Amino acid sequence: MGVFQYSARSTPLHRMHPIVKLAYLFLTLAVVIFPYRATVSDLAAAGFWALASLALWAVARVGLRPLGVLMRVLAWTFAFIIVSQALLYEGGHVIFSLGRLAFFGSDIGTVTDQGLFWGVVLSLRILAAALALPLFVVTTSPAEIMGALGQLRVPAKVSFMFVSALSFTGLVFKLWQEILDAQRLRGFDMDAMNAWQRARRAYVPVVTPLILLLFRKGNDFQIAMDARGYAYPGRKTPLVALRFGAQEVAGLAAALALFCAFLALKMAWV
Amino acid sequence: MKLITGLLRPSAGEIRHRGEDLTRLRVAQIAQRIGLVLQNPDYQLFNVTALEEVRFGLRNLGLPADEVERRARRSLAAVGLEAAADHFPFRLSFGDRRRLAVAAVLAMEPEILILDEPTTAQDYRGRYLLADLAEALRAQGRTVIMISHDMELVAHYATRVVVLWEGRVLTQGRPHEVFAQEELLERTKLRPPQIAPVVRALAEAGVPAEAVSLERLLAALEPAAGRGARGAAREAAGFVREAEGA
Repeated sequence: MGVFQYSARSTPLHRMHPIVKLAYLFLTLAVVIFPYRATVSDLAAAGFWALASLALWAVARVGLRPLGVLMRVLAWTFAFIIVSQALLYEGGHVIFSLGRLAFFGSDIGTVTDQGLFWGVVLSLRILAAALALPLFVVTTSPAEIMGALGQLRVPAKVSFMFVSALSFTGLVFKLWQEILDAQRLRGFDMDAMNAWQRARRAYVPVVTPLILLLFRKGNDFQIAMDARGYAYPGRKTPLVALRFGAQEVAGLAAALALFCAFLALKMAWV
Repeated sequence: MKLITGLLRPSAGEIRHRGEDLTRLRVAQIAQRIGLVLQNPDYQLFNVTALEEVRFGLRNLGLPADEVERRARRSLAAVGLEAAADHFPFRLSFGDRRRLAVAAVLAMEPEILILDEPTTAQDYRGRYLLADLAEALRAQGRTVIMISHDMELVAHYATRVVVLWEGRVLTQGRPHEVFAQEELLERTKLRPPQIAPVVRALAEAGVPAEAVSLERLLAALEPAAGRGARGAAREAAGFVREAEGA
């Protein structure tokens, strides 16, 4: 899962001030928490934001591999949402019926077109958020994140925790894979186990070393920080000088324009 | 190493062992034939005792309980950890955890044993203990592949050396043949052991080119040297080893 880690490139998005990218993330948050209904407008609006984020992936030259990883992770979620909404949604034309199946007072035996449509809208809403979030992490170096959060008056400790958590995420996935390999080398045949067998007995030999190693890494991390004067009192020097210039103003304006287009689409076919 | 053990799949070609294409087998199936001791033992330790840690791999092979017990205790003894059988693995020193990882692989009795940098984090005794163990396995007819940057160790134990550089085989041969190619080795930032040029200089005195370790050089000199000279040479060898160990 190292695919969602910072990769140093020279693209407009990489060069953009992190605060502009954070603003885009906040707008995405607004897009996601907006109330939605099973309408063409909402489908178009959520789809538009997802497409806009996808275009930014291309600008940032993130590549297809991270997109493939993301889609593999989300595919099951989308399938679950669409199937469950198709069965649970009340209203719309019946596509097919399995007969009345009572589930906590609701009939889950009937699939309606509105239910399916609502499942797709919800999935697009999740996709819009999922495509926007990695953009910030992949195009912004830890030093730039620290610098930007410092400019926003976020305490250094908090921003350091944020950056550390980001780097630890990649470390956890790397360790997970290393441990899996080490146990396979001892004849632990996870590849031959089915989902039930894996859940029952496969994870103890993997999760236990992972937890122990993370405690150890955390301890080493703390020693390394203290040894390099982390607890030294006073304001810390930012590693990069971030400037808010014309490019950033244009970036903010573009993000706001996208958001206005999203609002317009949401109200287009009410 | 990862290709041989099946952790990576080759994009082209085959890897055969006893005529069978290993790329068709799962990692766990290959592990019964080829044992790999990783550099970092902490990726595999999860049990509450060292003995239980060694038993884990044997149970995966589906061996009977008495055989599991016999092999587990014998392997721990082979790496000098029999007294630590009931210790919590993460309480052991890094060097001992490394030896525990070796014991876990040894117990599975693979035909081929791969040791990745066996001298990492080992004290002087531990360093030779693992290499001596590997040599004993070779004497039993097994194949041992050691990945190492420790040229003294290579000179002492290896029968065939393959130098890899940027994913390609740069040269290969018997240790003295490889160590003679100093300019080529320079590219890989490897340096032949200090004794290698000495042995080459003594070639005219009848010292065989193969004697690129202290022990082999002493063995070559013994017939020519008198008892006093031999004693002095052994004393010097002990001093050198102590200095290396320190």
